Amino acid sequence: MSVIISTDDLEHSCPNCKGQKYIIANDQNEPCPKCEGKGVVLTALGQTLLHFIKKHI
Amino acid sequence: MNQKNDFVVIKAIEDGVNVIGLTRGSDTRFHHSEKLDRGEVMIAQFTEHTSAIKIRGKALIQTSIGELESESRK
Repeated sequence: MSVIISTDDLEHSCPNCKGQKYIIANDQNEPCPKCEGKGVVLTALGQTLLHFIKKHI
Repeated sequence: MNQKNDFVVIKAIEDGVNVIGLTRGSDTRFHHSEKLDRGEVMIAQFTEHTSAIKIRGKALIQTSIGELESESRK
């Protein structure tokens, strides 16, 4: 049995900046404070995989 | 009320419901997101890292103070 993991299983587009990484504040582009300018929010699976890879790399 | 024992039950009524955890502390960031498809249930606790939970999409939500339903995104 094979397990296929999609990107959507690992991360979701930030609903605050809609994946744009920036929001307009005071007429300027500022990094989205909700996702820290990443544009995405990790899922539990995404964080698990990230920590596993960081640990063993 | 002990925040560490408090939890919410979320049942997705449609596909693609997002459950987003927000950080505890001075800055409120999204630190975690989970997608639920129709019929899936998530039981989430408020923890030392999570002080708020945001739900996007149509879902049935049960908490210690009652039950409510979120609505679909346009």
